[in-house]
Amino acid sequence: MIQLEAVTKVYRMGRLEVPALQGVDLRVEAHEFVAIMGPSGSGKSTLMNIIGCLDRLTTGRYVLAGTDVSRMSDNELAEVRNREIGFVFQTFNLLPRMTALRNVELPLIYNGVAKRERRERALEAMRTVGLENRALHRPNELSGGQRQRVAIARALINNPSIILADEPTGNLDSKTGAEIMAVFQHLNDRGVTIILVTHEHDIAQCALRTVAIRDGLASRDEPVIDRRVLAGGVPA
Amino acid sequence: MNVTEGFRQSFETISHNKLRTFLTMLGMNIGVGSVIAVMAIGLMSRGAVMRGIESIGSSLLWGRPNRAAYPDRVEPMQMRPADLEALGDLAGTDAWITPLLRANYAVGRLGWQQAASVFGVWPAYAIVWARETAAGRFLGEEDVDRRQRVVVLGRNISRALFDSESAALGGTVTIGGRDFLVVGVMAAKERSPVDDSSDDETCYVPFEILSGMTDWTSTGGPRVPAIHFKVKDLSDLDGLAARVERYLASAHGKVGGEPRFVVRSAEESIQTTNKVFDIVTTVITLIAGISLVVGGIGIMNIMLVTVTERTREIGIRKALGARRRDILGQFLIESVIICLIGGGLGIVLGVGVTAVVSIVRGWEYLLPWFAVAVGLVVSISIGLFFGIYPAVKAARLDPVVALTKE
Repeated sequence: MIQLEAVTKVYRMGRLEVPALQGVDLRVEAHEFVAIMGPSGSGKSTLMNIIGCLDRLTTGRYVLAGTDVSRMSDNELAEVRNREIGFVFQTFNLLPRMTALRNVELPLIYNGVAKRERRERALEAMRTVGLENRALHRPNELSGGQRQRVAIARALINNPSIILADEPTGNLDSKTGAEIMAVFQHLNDRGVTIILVTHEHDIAQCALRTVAIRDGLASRDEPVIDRRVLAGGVPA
Repeated sequence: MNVTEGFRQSFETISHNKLRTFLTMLGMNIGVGSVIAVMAIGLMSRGAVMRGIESIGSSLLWGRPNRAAYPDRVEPMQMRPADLEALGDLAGTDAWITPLLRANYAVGRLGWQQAASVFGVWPAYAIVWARETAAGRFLGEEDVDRRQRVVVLGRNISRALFDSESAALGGTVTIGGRDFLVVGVMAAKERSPVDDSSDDETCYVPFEILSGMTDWTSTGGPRVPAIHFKVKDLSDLDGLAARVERYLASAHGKVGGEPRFVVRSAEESIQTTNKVFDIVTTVITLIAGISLVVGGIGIMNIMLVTVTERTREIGIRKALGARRRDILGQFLIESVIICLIGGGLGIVLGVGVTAVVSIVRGWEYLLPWFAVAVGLVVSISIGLFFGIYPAVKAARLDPVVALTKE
C-alpha cells in the first residue's frame, strides 16, 4: 500500500540546509495498523507530511497504492490526498461554520460527487462513527470526542487507501482518547489501513506494529506485543 | 468544486461576518450609486436643456464677432448699423431679424431703483426667441419708427417696481436717467437648468433708443454686437447662413486668416451643448469612478485579511483534496458576491437619488439602463480584479504551512 525507499527531506532555511529525513525505508501493507513513534524533532511530522502527500520528498521514492507520487505536481497531489488519504488531526481541524455533515461532505465536494450522493454517503459515514444524530450540529456544539469522530467520518468518506492520524488523542482526555482508539481498531478490523503518529506509548500499543523514528531514520520496526484491545466506541 | 457549491460556501462565510461584509460593500455601494446617479442626472439635465433650446426652434441663426480670430484681451471688432441694414435687406421676407445690444442699467420708479439687464432689440425679437408678454404688448414697429422711448419690463423688474402687471402698463420708469413708457410685461420664463439664469430680470427697449443712450466713443461709432435671425422655412436655414457669412466676409474681410464674424445656428448650439454635457458627464463620472477604485481597494484589503484569518481553513481544505483552482474559485466567488451585493444596493441608491433629483428639479425622469448594466459589469469586474490577488495568494499557500498556522 505504501512504499518509501531511501526517502530524504532537507529543509532550506536561508543558506542553512536542515536534514529532517535521512533515508527512510518503510513499507506498509493493506489492512495494517502502524504506529509511528518518535520524540519531537525526530522527523516524524515530516514523514507524516510526506506520507500524507502534503509535502514532497527531496530524494528517494514514494509509491502510494501502486502510483509513484514522488514527482507529482501540486494539483496531482491534491487529487491523491482527496482519493487515497484520510486525515485525522490532533486539533480535529473541522471547519467551524459548517455543520458536522457538511464537514464530512467536504472531500466529496472536491471529488465532484453530486449533492444527493454526497448527503447519503456523509450520513452513512456519520453512522459508522456513531454520530448520525449529531449531523446538523456545528463543531462548537460537539464534545472533543465527538469532533474527532466527525473528523474520522470525514477521513473515511472517500474510501481512502490509508487513514493518517496525527496524534488523534492528543487533545482528548484518556477516557475519550481510548474511545477514539477503539474506533480506529474497529475500522482496522473492517479492513481500513491506518497509520497513527503518536509519542504516547500506550496509544501506540493499540496498533499492530510500531515504527520508531529517530534522527530522521526509521530506527526500530517491530510488531506490537501485548496489544491493548479496546471495546466500544462504535455501535455494532 | 462546482459553482453552486462555491456560492453556497461564500454565503456561509459572508453571512457569518455580516458587519464586516456590510462595511466592505458600502464602498462599492457608494461608488456604483454615484456613477449611476451622475450619469442619470447628466442625461436628465441635458434633456431639460435640449428641450429649452428646441422650444426656441432650430430655425435660429445669429451673427457675432469671431472671438477666436483675435488675440487674447483684444476686443473683437463689432458689426456696424450699416451691416444690420444690409443683412436686413439680405434676409428680406425669408426671415425675421433683430439686432441685440445688451447694457446694464438701474431701472427706477419713484426714487426706487432696480438693477436690470436692458436689451436693445427690434420687435421681431419676441418672434425670434419665442417670448410672450403677460400683459400689454411687446415692442412694435411704430415704436421703432417713431423712436418712442418705450420699455417692456421683465416679470421680476415689474414686480419690484409695481403693484401688479396691469398697474405697470402705462406707467413710467427711468432707465439711465430717461423716462420710458411701460407698454408690456414679459411672461415668466423657465429658469435655465444649466446656470439658473432667467430673462425675468431683463427689460426690452427699441434697439435704436438703447444705441442712442450708449457711449460709442471707444469704438468710433455705433456698433451692433449681435444680429439674430429666424428663418420662416427651415429649409432656408443653411442658405441664409451661407449668404450672411458671404456678406460679412466680403464686407469686412479676414483677420489673422479667420473671418471677423461668424454665423452660428441653434443646430450647432445643440451640438455644442451636447458636447459640453458629454465632457462634463464624463469628467464627473470619472471622479465618481475613483470611489469605485477606493471601494475595490477596500475589498482587496478585506479579502487579504480574510485569507490570513482563514489560512488554517485553507490548509484543511487542501489536505482534504482542494486543488489550487478550488481555493482560487472560492475566494474569487466570495469577492465577486460582496461586490455584486454592494453594486446591487448601489444601483438602488443611484436610482433613488436620480428619482429624488428629477422630482426636486422637475426634470423628466430618465434612467440610463446602460448605466445600470455598467454598474453590474463594473461590480463584477472589480470583484474579479481586486479579488484575484488575495485569491491567488490563498491558492498558493503551502498546505503544511497553512495547517500549522494558529
